[in-house]
Amino acid sequence: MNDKLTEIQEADLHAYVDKQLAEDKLQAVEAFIKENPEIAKKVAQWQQQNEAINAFFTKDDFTTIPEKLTLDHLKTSQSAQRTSTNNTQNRPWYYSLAASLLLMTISAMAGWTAKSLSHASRTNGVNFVNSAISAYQVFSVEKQHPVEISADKQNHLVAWLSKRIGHPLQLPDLQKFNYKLLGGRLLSMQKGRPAAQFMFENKQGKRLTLLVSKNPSYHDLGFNMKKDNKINTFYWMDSNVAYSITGEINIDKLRQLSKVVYQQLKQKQGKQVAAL
Amino acid sequence: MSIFINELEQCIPALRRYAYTLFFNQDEADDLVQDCLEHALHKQSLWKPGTSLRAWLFTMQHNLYVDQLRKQGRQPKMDVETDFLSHSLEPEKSETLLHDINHCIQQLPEDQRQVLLLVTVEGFTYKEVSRIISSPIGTVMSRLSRARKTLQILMDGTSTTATPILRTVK
Repeated sequence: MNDKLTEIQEADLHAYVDKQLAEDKLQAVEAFIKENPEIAKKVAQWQQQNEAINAFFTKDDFTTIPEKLTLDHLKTSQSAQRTSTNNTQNRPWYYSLAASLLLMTISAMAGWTAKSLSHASRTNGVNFVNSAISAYQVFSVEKQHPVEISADKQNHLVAWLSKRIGHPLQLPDLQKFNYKLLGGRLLSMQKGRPAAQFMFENKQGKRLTLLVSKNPSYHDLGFNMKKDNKINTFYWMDSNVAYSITGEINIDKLRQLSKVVYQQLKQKQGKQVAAL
Repeated sequence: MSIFINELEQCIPALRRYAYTLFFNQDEADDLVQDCLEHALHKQSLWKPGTSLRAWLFTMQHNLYVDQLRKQGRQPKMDVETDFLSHSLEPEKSETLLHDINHCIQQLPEDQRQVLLLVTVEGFTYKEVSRIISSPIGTVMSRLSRARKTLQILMDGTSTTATPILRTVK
């Protein structure tokens, strides 16, 4: 038995438990386990551990892929990256310069940077989206005073919130999705920064909110999604301004709607700059 | 759709699951996975068809994680056994908590946890794990051994009273 003990190492027992043991060793190890109750007990414990771990870590659904991990999203940045990096060794330097300029243009147009985002901007994004969800939860259920200023004073609402946020705000037109503006309110974010919440409602009384906030520590952040129970949110940052669309509506519909909002705001912003 | 993209897509849930066990926070985990996928797409020409794409991706994700820790000035939590045992087996921890596998796994020193989960949940061979974490196979085996030993102590929870030596407080 001592011979066997030296022949059979602890590593073999692990391999046995993990079903990685070479076939020619299997018989000897099985016999060894049978002969040694102490060893058998240990092996049984490890097997139970494996079962428990597997049961726990495979019960979660990791197959619902968030927007930022979809290949559509990733490939957009990839094609931009590839333009700038393919065969770089064989090309003169100005090729890579031209490619990076192109990359910058594409990134700016698409609203996200192809480069990996810094940890800080992601943390900012997470903080922002959490605030957006909280604000949605608090006000979207409000019956008497869902908004501070209602849509009939839309010009005043936008002018006032623009002034408080320190950024010329624009309102998206969501008629196409059967949502119309209910109004808006001023909210406070962390460290006393103001945010503007606009609320939209459809005929069935379903609501969604657009939260806008400005913060010098915000940086370009591409389209991101967050699911929080039934509440879905899409958010992005355009330089120092963060936007989010939150609602208890189907994720695909919300994605569609959010992209329209993004495009509309981008367009209106452009016009405003051109008019100056 | 290329083989690479097709296989890559199939690996995403596993990458997310493993990343989750590094942070125990889905947002942070997905940020790491995003980094990994962006790198993978960018460097897909370096992958040799016929080799395991899954192992290649896990290696990449592991390296990115180590980089991230380094940038934040953190070290992966190593298994200083006395530290670990003194904090995780505090008597006030309830029995139910100690029996909860998720809780127990979280208590494991990070390097042990990584090896244990790569083997049990992701089903990598010891050799593959050794490549993923760029450590010799001997290190993989000793971490696995310690992980299982520690996990058993945690899962047994109550039996710690019978082995007071493990409750050494610094």
